Amino acid sequence: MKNRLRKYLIFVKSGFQTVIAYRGSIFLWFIGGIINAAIMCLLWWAIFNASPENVIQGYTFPQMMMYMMLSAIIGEISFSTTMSEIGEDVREGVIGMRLMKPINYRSQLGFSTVGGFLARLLILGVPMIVIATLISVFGFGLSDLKWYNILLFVPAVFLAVMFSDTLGFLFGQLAFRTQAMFGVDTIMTVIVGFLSGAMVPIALFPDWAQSILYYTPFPSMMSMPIRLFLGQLSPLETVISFGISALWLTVLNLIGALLYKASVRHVVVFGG
Amino acid sequence: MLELKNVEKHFKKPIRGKGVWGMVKSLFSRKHTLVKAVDGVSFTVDDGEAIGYIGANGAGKSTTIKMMSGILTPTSGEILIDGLHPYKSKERNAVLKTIGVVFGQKTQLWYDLPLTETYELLRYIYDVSEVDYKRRMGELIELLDMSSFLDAPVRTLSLGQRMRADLAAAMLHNPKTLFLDEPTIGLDVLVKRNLIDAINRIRKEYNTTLILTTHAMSDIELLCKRVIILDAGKVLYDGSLESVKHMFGDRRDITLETATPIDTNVIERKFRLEKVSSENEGTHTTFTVDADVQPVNELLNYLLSECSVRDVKIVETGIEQIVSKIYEKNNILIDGMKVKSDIADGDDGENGEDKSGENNGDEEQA
Repeated sequence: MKNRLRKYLIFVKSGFQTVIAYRGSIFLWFIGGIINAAIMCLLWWAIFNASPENVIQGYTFPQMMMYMMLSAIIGEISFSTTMSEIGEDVREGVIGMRLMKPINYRSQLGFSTVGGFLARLLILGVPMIVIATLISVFGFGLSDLKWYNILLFVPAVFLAVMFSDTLGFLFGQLAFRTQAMFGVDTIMTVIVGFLSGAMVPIALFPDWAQSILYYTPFPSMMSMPIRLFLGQLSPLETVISFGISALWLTVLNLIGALLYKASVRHVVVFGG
Repeated sequence: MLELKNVEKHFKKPIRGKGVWGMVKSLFSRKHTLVKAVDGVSFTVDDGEAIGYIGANGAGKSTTIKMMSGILTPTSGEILIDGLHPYKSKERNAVLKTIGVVFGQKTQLWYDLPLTETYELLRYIYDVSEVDYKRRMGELIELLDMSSFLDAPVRTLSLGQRMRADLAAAMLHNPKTLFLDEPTIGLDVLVKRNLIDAINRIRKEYNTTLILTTHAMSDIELLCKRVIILDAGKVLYDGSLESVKHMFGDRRDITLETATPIDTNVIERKFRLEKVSSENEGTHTTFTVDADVQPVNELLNYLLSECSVRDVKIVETGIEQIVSKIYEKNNILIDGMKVKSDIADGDDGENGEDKSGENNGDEEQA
C-alpha cells in the first residue's frame, strides 16, 4: 500500500516539475491572469456606474471587484492538463506505451494534476491572491474578510481543480474517437465558464436556473470557492457545498472509469 | 518462456465509401468487415533467445506485440509469458513488470522532464529498489554512453540519444523479455551500429529474451539467430536465420574490377553461373552463383589467374532479398498453407537455439 501510494506520489512531483519547466509560460500565465481580471473588473465597474443601485443581487462594488479578480485567479490555478494530455497521447500514438506500464493511467493523470495545481498555487496563486486582496481591501474598501474563509479557499479550489481534471478525463476520452479536441476543449471551457459563474455570479441568474445549478457540479468549480472567500456562505452551507462537490466528484469519476474501459478497447485497435 | 498457442485476433473494420457521398454514407452506416489481423499464430521463445519477428506492413506484427504486452486481448488462443496471461487484468501488472518495450517511432519518456527524472519516475512505477536502481543505472549509462545528456530535458535530445535513453528506460527494471519495434529507424549508420552493439552487450549481460520487429534486415542479422516470418496474420517461416538464408540457395555476387572488359562467354561455359552482368563498359562484372552448386573458390581461382583483376568484392545475399522472395512466392501460390510446407522443406532442420554469437555480416572483402 505504501509503495503503491509512493508510485503515484512521484507523479505529483513530475506534475509540479512540468509546470515549472518553462519560465516563459509562467510569466505569460501571470500576465494572462492580470489581463483577464482587469477586463472583468472594468466591465463590472461600468455596470455599477450605470446602475442606480449600490448593491447588485447582494454584491457590493468591492465584493464584485474581488469576485472578478478571484475568478481570474481560479481560472489560472484550477487548470488541468488532463484533457490535453490524453489528446496528445492518443494523437502521437504513445497511449499504447502509457498503457503498457504497470500503473493506472487515470490515477497517473490525476496525480499529475495535483502536482501541477501545487506548483500553480505556489507560484501564481499565492502572490496573486495577496495582491488581489490588498487591492480590494485598501483600494476598494472591501471588509469582513475572515482568515478561516481565506484558508478554506485553498481546499475549495483544490476541489475545483479535481473537477476540471475529472471533466477533462471524461471529455478527453473523445480524443479516442475524434481528432477535433480543440473544439471539445473550447466548448467545455465556455460552458463550464458560464455555468460555474466565472463571468457573471450565479446570484444574477434567474431563480429557476439558480435552484437547478446549485445541484450541479458547476458552482464548485468557481462560484463556491469565491463565495466562501467573500464570507457569503454560512458554516452549514460550507459543509453542504463541500459535500455536494465530493459526491459529484465520486459520481463523475465512476462514470469516467466506466467509459474509459470502453475507450481503451477502442483506442488500442487503431492508435497505439 | 514465452508461448503463443494458436493466437487469433479479429478486428471489425468499418467499410468506408468512396468520394464525398460515400464518406457521408459511412457517417451513418455501420457496416463492418472482419479482418483477421493475426490468424492462428503459435510459437515458443525460450529464455535468453533472440527472435527476429518480421513481416510486411500489416502482416500482424504489432498486433502480436500488443497482445504480448497486454494491451490487446486475443480473440482466441492463448499467450503465456512465464505462465501468466498478459491480457488478463489480474495477471497483467505482474507480466508488465517482466517486460520492457521500445517503439522506435514513439517515446515512453516524459517530454518536459530531464532524463534522470524520467528514470526516477520509472523506478517508482516498477518498484525498483534503490540499490538495484543505482547499480543498473550505472551499468546502462556506461553501456549506452549516456552520461553527457542525463540532465537534459527529453525534448532537447537528438534521435540517437533519445533511442538510447528509451532503451535504458525499458531495461531499468531488468525485464526478462525485451520487445524492440524498429529500434534503429531513422538512425545514421554509426549510431545504428553503436545501438546494436549496446543491445547485444545488454543481452549478454542480463540474458534478456529479445523480440525484434524491424524492416531493417541487417539489424536482424546482427542481433538474432532465429527468425519468424509473418504474412497476412500467419506464420510463414519459423527457424534459424542460417537456414532461411539458404532457403533459396547460398547466393553470392562476385564483382570484379578489371582494366579491360572480360569475355564472359568463356566463363559462362566453364562454370555454373546464375547470372552475369557488367557495368562501366565491361570493367565491372558481376557473377551471381549459388555456392552450393558452384564452389566459389574454383571460380575465384580461375578468375584471378585468367583476368587482370584490380579489385574483387563478394556479397552474400542478404536476408532482405530472401524475405522479399518469400513474399513473392507466397503471392504466386494461392494456398497459404502450402507455402508453409514448401518452406518447411527448405528448412534443413537446424534448431533455433541461440548461440548468442556475433554477427555474420553480409559483406566479405577478398
